Amino acid sequence: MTAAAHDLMTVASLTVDYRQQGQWHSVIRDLSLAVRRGEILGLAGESGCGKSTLASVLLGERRGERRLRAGSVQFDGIDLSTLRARELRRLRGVRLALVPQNGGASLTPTLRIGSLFAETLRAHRPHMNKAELAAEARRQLSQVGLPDPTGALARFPHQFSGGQQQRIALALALCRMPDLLILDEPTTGQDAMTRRGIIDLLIRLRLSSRMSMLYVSHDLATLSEICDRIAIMHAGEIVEIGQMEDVLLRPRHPYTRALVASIPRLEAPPDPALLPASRRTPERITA
Amino acid sequence: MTAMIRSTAIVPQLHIDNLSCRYERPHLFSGRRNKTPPAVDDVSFAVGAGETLALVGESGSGKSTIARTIAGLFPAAAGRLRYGGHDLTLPVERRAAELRRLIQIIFQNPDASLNRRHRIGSIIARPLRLFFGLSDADSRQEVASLLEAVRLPTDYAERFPSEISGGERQRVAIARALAARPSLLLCDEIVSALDVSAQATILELLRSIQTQTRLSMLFITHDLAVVRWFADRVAVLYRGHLCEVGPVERVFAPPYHPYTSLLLEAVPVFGRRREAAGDAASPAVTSSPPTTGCAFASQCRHRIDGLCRSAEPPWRQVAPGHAIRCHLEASDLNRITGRAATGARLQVAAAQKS
Repeated sequence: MTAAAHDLMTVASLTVDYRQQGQWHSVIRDLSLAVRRGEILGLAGESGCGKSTLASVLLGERRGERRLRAGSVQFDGIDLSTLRARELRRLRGVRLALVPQNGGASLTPTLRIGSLFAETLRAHRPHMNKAELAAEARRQLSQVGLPDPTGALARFPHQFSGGQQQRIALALALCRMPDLLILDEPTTGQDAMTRRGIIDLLIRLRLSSRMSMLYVSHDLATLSEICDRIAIMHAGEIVEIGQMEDVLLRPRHPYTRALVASIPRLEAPPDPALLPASRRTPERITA
Repeated sequence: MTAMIRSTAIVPQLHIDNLSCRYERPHLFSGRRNKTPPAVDDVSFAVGAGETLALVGESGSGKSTIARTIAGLFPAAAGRLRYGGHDLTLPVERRAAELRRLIQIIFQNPDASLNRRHRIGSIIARPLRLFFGLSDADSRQEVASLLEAVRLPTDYAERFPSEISGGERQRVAIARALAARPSLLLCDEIVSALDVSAQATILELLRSIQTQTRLSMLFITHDLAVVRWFADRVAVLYRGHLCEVGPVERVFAPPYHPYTSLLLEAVPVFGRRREAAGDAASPAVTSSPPTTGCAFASQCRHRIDGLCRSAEPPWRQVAPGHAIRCHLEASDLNRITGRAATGARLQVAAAQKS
């Protein structure tokens, strides 16, 4: 198989600049990356490393204060920079979807959840009647584990908790069945049970569809649960990329090693200095 | 039950006895108060001097409400709250200055808790002026040493909150809390929004300050991997009800409360991909908790029909200082939840270490 055939999205030697007080600063430097068809690729790094900028560029978003200085972004062989705004919108609506970092903020506050779904679904399934639209919206909402999907359709976004808003944003993205779903920190700040619910849903999708996903997060433990491959980003560059097990269990780059070492884990004790005084003696667990 | 939880070697300082809190708004037109289920229901625990108690649970479990009640920012509907000789049922504005100084709270989001129009130096100097009457000139040296204590460059005093990163802002919030020289720090999800290296820096910082000053901490979080290594004891909260309290080593080993077991299973195993989704979604949480029986009954995999939904579960002491609130006996819990994947996982880890 050629590279083009099994890569859905390719980024080649990309350099992205931001303008700040009249000066251009590069936030992404000579970055190359491919999302393969059907894979879940994790993109990890600390805040400020350029992860979210990359996600936004991959969606073809254009902003005044930003420029692509070099390189290209291709989606299924189409160079995003050659598309007109309308073509780009169509691509984004149908084949490319984003669940933004603060999913709740992406929901139009004045529209009921039912209308949000109707709007999104109508663009993709024009033949659906009102009852079918509502049924599909309910199905999507229960799929993301939202309690009382029927009641939810009549409510406004602000009537849901942050975690629920995030799941609604995810359901809205999923109902388009995109080829590539970009998730920007979808579980950050969510509690363990909500995170588990979202991860379970993504695993089910991974098993049942050929949807590709780019999962952007600084939470390496969560990434390791679902990703096929992981890319580690630091200061605008990819410093290490490979199979999840290789990158996380046998990291080669010093930055990856430091990142992996700082993760709090249930199983492995951290630096003993972190333990409270009462627990610095060896721990004994009696079952 | 209260006596049981206090049976630790350390002398407790903060006592919370049978605390209940309720969010109720009078109806817009009738003025009638609708009876909402309590956000915190009959919760008792104690925190000793120099001790870290982690309060864990999902969002909406009442963790923050408890912290805000202790800080005097939210009224208790019922219960006794004491700190040393002080009565904590008074709202913050009616508390003695000394008590306000002793208990400090740090919130999850430093963007919201730091005044963005003030320079960092004046943010940290404020408690110094308020509690110790220091003049601006006198406080300058103190601000510098507080910035050093949280490992920030001293010239940050001249900066505005917007000019530094999120992790650094959280350190400023900690420096401001420490400026009051508190003896109890209420930490409400203070590392949840930070990435792992900033998290590690802040936890390590709090630990070293605690070692020097015997600071007590109520550490609210939903991250069990942090609790596992950072806390002395842990209290598990489910929808306003306490369901398990004990030393971390005990709570993270069988027998588990069925809810604790579920929480532990939800923690990802680092470096292991899951090839199957969890055994279906847990039954959807109903919007209001049941009014009778165990609060967790509707979600519990080990529910005894005819008992759990109707009768309040008893507290069972399963080990010194370790109590579980469940209808199931410790031996049954051990058998049922001890086999869970997480139990095995943690025991393997413990065996490898010893």
